[in-house]
Amino acid sequence: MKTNYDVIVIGGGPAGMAAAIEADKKGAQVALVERNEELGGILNQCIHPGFGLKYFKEELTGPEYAQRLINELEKTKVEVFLSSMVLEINHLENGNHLVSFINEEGRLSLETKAIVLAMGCRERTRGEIKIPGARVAGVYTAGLAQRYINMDNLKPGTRFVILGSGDIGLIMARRLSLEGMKVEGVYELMPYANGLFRNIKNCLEDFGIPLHLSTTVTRVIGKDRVEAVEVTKVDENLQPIDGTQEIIPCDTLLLSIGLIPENEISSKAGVALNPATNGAIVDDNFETSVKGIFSCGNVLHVHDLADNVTQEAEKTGRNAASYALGETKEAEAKLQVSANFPIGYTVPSTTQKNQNASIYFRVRKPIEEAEMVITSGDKEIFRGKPRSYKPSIMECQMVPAKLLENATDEITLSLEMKESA
Amino acid sequence: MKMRICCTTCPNECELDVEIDENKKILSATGNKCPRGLAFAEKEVVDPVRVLASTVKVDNGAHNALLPVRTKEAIPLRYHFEVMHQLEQMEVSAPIQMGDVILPNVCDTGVDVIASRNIR
Ligand SMILES: Cc1cc2nc3c(=O)[nH]c(=O)nc-3n(C[C@H](O)[C@H](O)[C@H](O)COP(=O)(O)OP(=O)(O)OC[C@H]3O[C@@H](n4cnc5c(N)ncnc54)[C@H](O)[C@@H]3O)c2cc1C
Ligand code: SF4
Repeated sequence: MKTNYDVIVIGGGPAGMAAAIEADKKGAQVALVERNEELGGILNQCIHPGFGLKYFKEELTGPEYAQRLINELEKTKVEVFLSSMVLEINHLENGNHLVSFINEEGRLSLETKAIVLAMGCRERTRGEIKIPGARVAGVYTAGLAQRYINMDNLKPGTRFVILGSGDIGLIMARRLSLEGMKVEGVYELMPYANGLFRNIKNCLEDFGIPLHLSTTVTRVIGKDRVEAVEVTKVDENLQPIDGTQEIIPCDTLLLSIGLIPENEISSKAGVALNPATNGAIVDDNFETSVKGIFSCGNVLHVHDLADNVTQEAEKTGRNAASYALGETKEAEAKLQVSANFPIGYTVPSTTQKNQNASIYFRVRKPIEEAEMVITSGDKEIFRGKPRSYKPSIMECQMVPAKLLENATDEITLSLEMKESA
Repeated sequence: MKMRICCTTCPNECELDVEIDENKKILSATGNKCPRGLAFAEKEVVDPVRVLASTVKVDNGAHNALLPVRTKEAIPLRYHFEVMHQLEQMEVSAPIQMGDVILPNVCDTGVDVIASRNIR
């Protein structure tokens, strides 16, 4: 068996597949390791349409999107290891890395010049937001319920309350309604919805499901199984307002309260993480703080669109292959990239002077109208047109190399609010 | 009456504010970046259409208990529960190819329900 590769990709979702396909196209010897028994990642359970409008120029469901990438991958020489869970990454003296995983055959270790981390996200759970009350059956993350209903043919309950207005929760509200289950309402702590407007419209309004903003679940009630939840309105500091409690009878509480990149293996391997994203700190090649280890997709930062994942992963796969094949040039003039509130983070954390930059970011609160201003030292190098920004949308700011000529060794992104008239 | 709708014709996903009269005729519309948004809105206020996605039982899939399916094109929202009911009664056998017709011409809409993936 072959034990030496140019590029090993960890994770077989859209990020991992797209990275592997592109690395193979560049002539690298590639292996992809996936812990599930099939490729596709989270897409397999996202049976709804809404994928691929940008990348495939047509609207696809999650499984179709996955199938297209699987079909592409099957045309390549990429070696795929399924039902194989990566446990750790170690570094060798020759500068290469060792990827260790387990599967039915036992423990395997493969040597590689470059690694692409593409492990995706897991969901935040009840423990992470500390909802008080009974420890009873009937509390699920929305994604787990999605898997039960869409893949395993299981029904997790009959009467639901959904906490969190992220897209997964909204999509599940529609899915449950179509399957004949009752959704009492979606409750959101923040004063605005976290999901895409399209999903509020097509998943809640189409089915008459109420969305309660500035309201959260403050208690879970029940003996063995959820019997009701207590919901309470919150003030502008997100603190529950006494006297606004309401009891909502239900047998299941779904949590759609966010995703966390799965970076346990990465941090054990010495990859530095960005506390604002829980993903790796990367440069403009999507290379992490560890030479030869790259990262893309949801494990790097949470994406709302698979198309963005695929495009980012394609670049990453090409870069990993270039690195492994010794084609990478050392960066000449690095620029540190930072951002001011309400911009929550930027990916990448550094870019280069002589190249066009694509800087991805997310805002932490909805902004009606603001101008993007990029400064370097005290020089303004770019000012965008005024427009709105939403936390539910990952933004991309392009900065042409020409503008970066005037930069010192850093650039800072800020949003300048327009006074509302 | 005022309505806020979301054009899903292209990835821009413009949010339109439209005003309609009692015959559901559009009096005014703002927010659409192109004329296709208006065409979308005209349909949306009278008879909204959506792609419906669901699953069908598989009686012999190696790893898969369910086949994800969808309508090939958008069909009127008012038929969705009827199609769900028909899909619930069905069972299919592997092998299945993405794009295979699972239920032809649902509710006489001229639109087929197709498989969203391969199942071996
Ligand atoms: C409910 C929901 C609805 C969505 N709706 C849309 C939509 O309408 N349109 C859209 O464009 N996008 C949508 N998205 C977003 C999109 O699906 C994701 O951004 C994208 O699938 C992420 O891809 P990924 O490859 O980074 O991660 P994933 O798809 O999560 O893939 C990660 C893979 O890594 C594997 N893995 C993890 N750890 C290991 C390990 N240690 N060893 C081996 N393998 C490992 C996992 O098993 C998994 O297969 C939605 C997402 C969700 C959850
Ligand atoms: S109005 Fe035009 S630009 Fe806007 S989403 Fe519809 S088709 Fe796209």
